[in-house]
Amino acid sequence: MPASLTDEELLSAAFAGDERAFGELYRRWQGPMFRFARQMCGLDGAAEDVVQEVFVALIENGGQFDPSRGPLAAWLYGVARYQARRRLRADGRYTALDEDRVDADDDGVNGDETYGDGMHGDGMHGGGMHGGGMIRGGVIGGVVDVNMDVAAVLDRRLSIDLVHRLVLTLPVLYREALVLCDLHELGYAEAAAALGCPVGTLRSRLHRARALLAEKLRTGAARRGIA
Amino acid sequence: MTCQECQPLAIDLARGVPPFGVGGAVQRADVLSHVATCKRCAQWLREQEALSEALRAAAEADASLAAPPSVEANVMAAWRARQAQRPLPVANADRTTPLVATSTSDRPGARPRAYAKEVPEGRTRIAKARAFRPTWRAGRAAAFAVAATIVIAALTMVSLRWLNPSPAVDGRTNNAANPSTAPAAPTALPPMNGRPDERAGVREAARVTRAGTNAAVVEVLPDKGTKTTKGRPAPRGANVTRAAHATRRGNTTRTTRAASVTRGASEFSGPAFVLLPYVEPLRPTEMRHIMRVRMPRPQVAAGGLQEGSADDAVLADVLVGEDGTARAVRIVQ
Repeated sequence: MPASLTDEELLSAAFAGDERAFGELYRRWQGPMFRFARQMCGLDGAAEDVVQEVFVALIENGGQFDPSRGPLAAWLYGVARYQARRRLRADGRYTALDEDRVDADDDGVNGDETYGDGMHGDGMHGGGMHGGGMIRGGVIGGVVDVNMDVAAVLDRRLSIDLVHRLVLTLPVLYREALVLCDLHELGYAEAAAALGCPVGTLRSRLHRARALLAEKLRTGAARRGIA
Repeated sequence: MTCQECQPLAIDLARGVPPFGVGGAVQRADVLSHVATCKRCAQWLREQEALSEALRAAAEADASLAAPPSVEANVMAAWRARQAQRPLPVANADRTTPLVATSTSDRPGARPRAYAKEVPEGRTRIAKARAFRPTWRAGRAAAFAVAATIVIAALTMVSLRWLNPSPAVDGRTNNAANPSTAPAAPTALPPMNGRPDERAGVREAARVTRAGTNAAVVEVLPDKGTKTTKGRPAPRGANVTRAAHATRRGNTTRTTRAASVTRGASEFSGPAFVLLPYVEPLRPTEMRHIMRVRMPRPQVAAGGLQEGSADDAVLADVLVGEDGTARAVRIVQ
């Protein structure tokens, strides 16, 4: 199966009965779907479930896919987003979607629960850290500087594990925008199509997500005396 | 350019995406000139650039993540099953796909997510696991309904006991009402301190339960094995209809009969109970039973409850708690 075929061409071939085309489509998209679900839910098992649900949905409804309404990637991300939300809701970890409640939610996630595992958890002791030698006993070493900023914290190469944990504390609306745009590097138009919202709304959510993430980094670092 | 206009554009600048990718030179220059004069926006831009770098590092770290092979096997099995179900003949579709129950992963106990079943015609059909999933919402609602029912039932029982206290069964009340009645010595009524069903001569028991109260009135005739149900004073003096279930046991036969008896409150009036010493008083919510027994008069006299030395028997009501221990007694005749 030539790799140059587009997703839409592969889908057409698959629904014409070509199993190899469907296999190629799966291999092309299972990784991004898995990563997206994992970044949204934080669990491998949930991500596996989401991937399977996405492709079962493709098997059942892919025949009605209309390329004129958007790329297949946006459709797949849309299904994955829906399934991830279902999973979060089922697990009781669904953060309020109402933007009016976001500030209240932020107060909740800025607490010790947010940073407790992130700063002192096992992930900090393992190979998850970049710039080895910065972490001693789960606490980033260095001189405490009350006036530090996010850049200072990140210049010290805070762990990727911490970034993942903080992303998981964002409200789902903002998390989706951040994951699609920054972790999956989708364009604004494609991400907006996946989320089913205008580009302006997406940019607003992304702006808010990044501001929240910076605030969490700043607050968490200040509480832990990190500079 | 104001700070409010600058900050969203600074995010794009930090991310390196349009409008700064192509044709955004003017806006880029505007942002940079504003940042040069605004300390707050300069810090914002610096933070966003650091954040973009961290997020890119996180994305690169995740780049190797992929679903395990078991998921691919499940999806491909579902695909083949679906193709076999399609009404039109299709190429590469295996029509003899055996029964497949796909599971989410290799984890033990993982819930099946999709099923492919063989049907009699040799074709297969797929049913999404959605149809097999338990309806958690319905389960939660049912559990809530059961819990609510239990709570309501418990509250009803407590309130009924509170509203319909047994006026003559609380030993403390009786003592207060009859201060001249001396309690019997603990050795006076030894048979009453044992469990009722363990007493010699007790062959049958009949139980009457009246709606609205937990008390039961039982008359035990130790010799003949016959018994009669008796009522207890209705707290509010109204007539009470009771269902009396009496059981008679012979050597080879067993008969159960039920009778509905309507009695007036005055019929059950009588002397107050006398609290037996050295026993714990009844709790307000404790189930109470009144057993009518025939006691030898000398034994009653030894307990100080009644004078006399004749050999005949005396009818007495014994108040028994949930644990089967006699708590109080009253002489009926």
